Amino acid sequence: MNAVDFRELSKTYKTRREVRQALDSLTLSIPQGQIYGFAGPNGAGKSTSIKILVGLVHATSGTVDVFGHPAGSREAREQIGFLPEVTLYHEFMGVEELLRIHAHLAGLPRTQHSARIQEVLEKVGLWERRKSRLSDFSKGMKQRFGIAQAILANPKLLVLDELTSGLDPHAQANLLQLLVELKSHGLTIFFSSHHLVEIEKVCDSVAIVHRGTLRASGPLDDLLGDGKRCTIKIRSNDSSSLDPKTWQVTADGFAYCSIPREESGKLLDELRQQEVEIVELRSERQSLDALFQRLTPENEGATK
Amino acid sequence: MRVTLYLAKLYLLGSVRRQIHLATLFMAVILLMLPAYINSFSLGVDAFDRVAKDFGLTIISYFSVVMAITLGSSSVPKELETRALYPILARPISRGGYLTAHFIALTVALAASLLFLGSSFSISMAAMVKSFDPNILQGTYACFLQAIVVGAVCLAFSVRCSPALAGTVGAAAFLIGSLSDAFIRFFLVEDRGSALSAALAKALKAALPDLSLFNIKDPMIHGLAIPPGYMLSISYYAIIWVILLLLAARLAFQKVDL
Repeated sequence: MNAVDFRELSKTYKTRREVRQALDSLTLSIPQGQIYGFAGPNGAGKSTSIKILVGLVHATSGTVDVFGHPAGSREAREQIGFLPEVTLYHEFMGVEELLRIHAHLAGLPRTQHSARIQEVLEKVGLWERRKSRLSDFSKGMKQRFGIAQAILANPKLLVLDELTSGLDPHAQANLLQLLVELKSHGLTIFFSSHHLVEIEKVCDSVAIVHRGTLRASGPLDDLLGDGKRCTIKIRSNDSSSLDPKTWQVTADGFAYCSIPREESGKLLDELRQQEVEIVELRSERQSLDALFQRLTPENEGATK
Repeated sequence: MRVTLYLAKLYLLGSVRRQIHLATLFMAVILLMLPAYINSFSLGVDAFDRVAKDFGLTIISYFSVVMAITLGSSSVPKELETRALYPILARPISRGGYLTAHFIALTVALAASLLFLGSSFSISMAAMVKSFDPNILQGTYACFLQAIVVGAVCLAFSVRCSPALAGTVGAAAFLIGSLSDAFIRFFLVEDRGSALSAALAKALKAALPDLSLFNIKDPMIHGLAIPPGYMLSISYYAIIWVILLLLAARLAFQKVDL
C-alpha cells in the first residue's frame, strides 16, 4: 500500500473576480518509507495539494487516500504529522506547554505525554529551551518546534510545506539532516519546496508540478540519470591524435569524451602519460535544476 | 469533548496572556468608585442607590457586549491570519469542535470578567448603603447571558467574514435585539403608520435574538420582584440561541477552504 495516492485530483478556486484552476487531474503515488520531494514554482499547486491531503481544503474532483483512508477523514488525519508553511504558532505559549496541548489533541495517552515530549524536543534540539515562550524563538527554532509538534503523535506520514523557506544555510542543513534521521525510523516524508538543491540532497523521489499539472515524478535516479557514465574534458592542442569516434573536438580548443565510469580510470592514466591537460571530469547526471527549468518554462501559456 | 476542552484552555490562555483582563480591572476600578461618585451628587435625594445601580449595570452590560464582540469576531480570523489553526485542524479534530472550543473560551473569559465586575460593584454598593443587594449579581448574570448570545453571533459570522464585518453584525444584532417591543411600536410600527417599516422591524426582531429579555435592570432598580423561574427561562433562551448559532457556524465553516 502506498502512503499517499492522489487520483485525478482537481481544485478550482472561484471568487467574484476570477476562476482559477489550482490543480488539474493530478495523479501521484507516494511509496512508504521514502523522502518524497514535491517541487514546483510559486503558484504551481503544491500547497493546495498538501492542504487537500491534510483535510484543510476540499477537492473539486478526484480523491486522495492516506494509507487507504480518504484524506480529511479522522483515520487519515491520525496518520499524519503536518508542518504548515510559515505558521505563527500560539506565541504566548511555552514550548512544553503547547506540546502538551497538542498531545491531548492528537489523542496520545496521558501517561506517555512527558516521555514523548522529552523525546521529540531532544530530537529537534529544543529540550533545553522547553520552558521558553515561542515568541522568544528565531525562525529556525520555530520550524524545529513545528517538526516536534508534527512528529509528536508518532505519525506514519510527515507532511512538510516549504520546510526551509526563509532559513539560513546552517538551519536548512540541520533540518534536512533531521529529515534523514526521521526517515531512518521508518517515517514517510512528503515535503514541498522550491529549493531544488535540498530536494536533490535528501529525497529518494520527486514530483514536479507546474500550473496545477504533474510534469514528472519518480525516483531521482530515474529522472536525473544514474551517473554510470562520465564526461572527460581536455585541452586539445593536437586534435589529430584523438580518436574521432571517442572524442568530440570543439572550436574553442577543447575535446570531450563520454565513457562508462569504470573505464575512466584507465583513460585518465593514458592521458596523464601523454601529458594532456585534463580540464574536467564529471558524472553524467543532470541536475534537478536543469530538469526543473526544462519542465517548468516561465513563458508557458497563461494560468488557466 | 475532552479534546475540545483542552483546545478551549489554549484559547483562554491566549486571552489571559494578551492581557484582556486589564480592561476588566480598569472597569472594576470605575465600578468601585461609581457609588461614591454618584453619592456626592445625590444631595440627600433618596434615589442614590437606584441611580448608582442603573449606572453600574449599564456599564457592566456595555462592557460585556464590547468584550463579546471583540473576542467573538476576532478569535477565528486571527488564527486564520497567522495560520495557527492549520496544525490544529490537521489533527483528528472536527471543525465543529474547534468552533466550540473558541466559544467555550469566550464564555469562560466573559464569566470570569463579569463575576469580578459584579462582585466589585456589589461590594462597593454594600459599603455605601450598608446592605448587600443580591439583585446586582442577578443583573450581572443577565448581562452575561446577553453577551454570550452576541459573542455567538460574532463567532458565527467570523468564520466567513472579516472581523470588522462580524463585529458590525454583532453590534447590529445587539442594537436591534435590545429594542423593546414598546419602542418598536412607538417609533416604527403603528404610530408612524408605515407598513414597510413595520414589516421590516417585525421581521428583524423575529429573526434576531430578543436581547430585551435580558434587560432586567428596571424591575431590579425599582425593587420589583422578578418572577420565579424567569432567570431560568432566559438561560434556556440564551442556550438555545447559542446552540443554533454554533450549528450555523459549524455548517458554514465545514465548507470553507482554509
